[in-house]
Amino acid sequence: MNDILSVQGIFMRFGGVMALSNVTGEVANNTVTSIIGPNGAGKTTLINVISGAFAPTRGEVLFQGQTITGLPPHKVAERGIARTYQNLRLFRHMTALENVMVARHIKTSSGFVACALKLPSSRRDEQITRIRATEYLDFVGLADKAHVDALSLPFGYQRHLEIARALALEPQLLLLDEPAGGLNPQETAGLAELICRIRDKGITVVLIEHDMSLVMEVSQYILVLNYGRKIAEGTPKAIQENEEVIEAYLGKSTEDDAGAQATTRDVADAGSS
Amino acid sequence: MGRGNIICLMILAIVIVAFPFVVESPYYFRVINFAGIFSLVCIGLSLLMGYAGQISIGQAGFFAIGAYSSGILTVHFGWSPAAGIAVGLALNSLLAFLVGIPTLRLRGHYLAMATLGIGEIIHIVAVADTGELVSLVLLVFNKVGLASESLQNTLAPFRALTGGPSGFGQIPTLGIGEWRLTTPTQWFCFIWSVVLLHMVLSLNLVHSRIGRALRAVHGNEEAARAMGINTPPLKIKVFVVSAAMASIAGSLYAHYVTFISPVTFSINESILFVVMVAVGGMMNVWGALVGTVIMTILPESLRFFHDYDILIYGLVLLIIMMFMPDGIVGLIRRLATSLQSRTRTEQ
Repeated sequence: MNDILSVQGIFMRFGGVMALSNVTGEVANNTVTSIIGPNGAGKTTLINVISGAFAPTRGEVLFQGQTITGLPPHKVAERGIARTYQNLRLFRHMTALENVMVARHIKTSSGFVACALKLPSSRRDEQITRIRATEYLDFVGLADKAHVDALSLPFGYQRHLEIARALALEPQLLLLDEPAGGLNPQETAGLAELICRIRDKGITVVLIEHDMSLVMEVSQYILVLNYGRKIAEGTPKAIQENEEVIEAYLGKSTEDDAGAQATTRDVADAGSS
Repeated sequence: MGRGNIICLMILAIVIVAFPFVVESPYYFRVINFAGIFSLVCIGLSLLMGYAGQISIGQAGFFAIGAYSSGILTVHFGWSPAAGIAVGLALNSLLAFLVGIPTLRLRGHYLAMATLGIGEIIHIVAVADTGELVSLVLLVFNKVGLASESLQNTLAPFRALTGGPSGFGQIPTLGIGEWRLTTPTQWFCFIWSVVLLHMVLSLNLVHSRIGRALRAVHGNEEAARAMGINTPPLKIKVFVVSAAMASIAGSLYAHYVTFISPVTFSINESILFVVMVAVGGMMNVWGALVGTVIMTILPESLRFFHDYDILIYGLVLLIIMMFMPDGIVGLIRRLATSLQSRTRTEQ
């Protein structure tokens, strides 16, 4: 079986709102698979369901052939799924390095007593954690920012730091929730290159993104959501030509929204560039 | 643990060694000994407040259980002080565990509410007159015709278990073999060695994977969970640690003062512990130590205001929260970093 992740008939209801209805899809191993769709389409909700933040109302999430539906987030992380957040959630009052070191928690095991007495096992854990965390900071290009307070870093660096923190879990699957949000074009180009390097490490990436040129550049496969339903899936090229997708982004009348026109052009042009 | 902490620990050790040579008055020793005992409670509380982001308003209750376990078992049952301390530790850990399970699984400040209640219950139990309870039991057994001499003898020690509102005394002092801690100076050396030991252990804990995980929970619990940290057990464990430290402090208090009564363990005391941690700065274990010493010495030097002390605590807390939320140690650290960066730019 070639799919690392598969969601089967996911329904997610919040009170009277059906945020996801009957979403089914697969993510092939070692690909970048993007989930796109207009605001409120349910993309982040789907990420929250996969990562265990929400238990779906109905449906099943399979990771490497095993069900992870309804597992608490820390168990999902242990299985090998890491995530980042649309609105950054770095740890306050901690340096960049410490933020990444937190993610090594499950790779070490010394307990309260060993830590308080600073037993050799705890010292060794600490040393290895520091080395590994530095490697991940280096991977995203933040090695020289290791001792800077995480929240005082420039926004673009904070995005990279969150990715380093997620990678430090050594996941098989990385969920990126709008990683280009708030980045300038130069930073976005750097991000695209970073995503490709992550995939080259053998990590499957699920990308939620509004920046169509980024999506078209890095993804091998795209799922499109609208109003909580999957309306299309396919290769970037197929998606660009899909009538229903263009309609979802623009509505039926195209004359009134210049911003939306720009988006179509993005959808149409990005693949060819 | 960084270099700064090791230097601070060395300074603390030097101050502890030098203190008896500089100070002579037994009164000062008494004040600083109380500060040492209270700082044990506050170090534990700062682990809970600063690192797990939870508040306990019942530390005086855990403090009381430690003190009463030591007092009752040594005075009424003739146990050794070590056994009394161990029983207090076990009772407190169990209680904290049982309170922590339902409250720390939820997000929000449910622990504060639960501990407020627990502290009050412990206080009421300490005030209660067990003599009346024993008389009642004997009366019931008498009515059923089961009263006997042996039953009366068995229950006799329970008559004056807590001593009710007036407490009880003659708690033995601590010692090894024939040798006993008697003078305030000897107690000073003992208490502050225990404080130093707890500081080392706490700093180790804070600067380990556990401390980091706790700070992450405080920083952003949802992200911490997504990073694979199972947060409730971690919070429960740190709460148990804080209760255990309060227990040790309580046992030391009982053996040091040799007399205990419920007034020492009221809710005011619990609130005072929170104030001490906040004044020193809760994001740092050193804050607990500094806050406790200041808040113990301050009222002594402000004898003048004696009936208004709780008012002054409130005012101090208000000012700290408004103008320096990181407390005194936080302020010092900020000043130190800005001074460092200024000298660096001048160079």
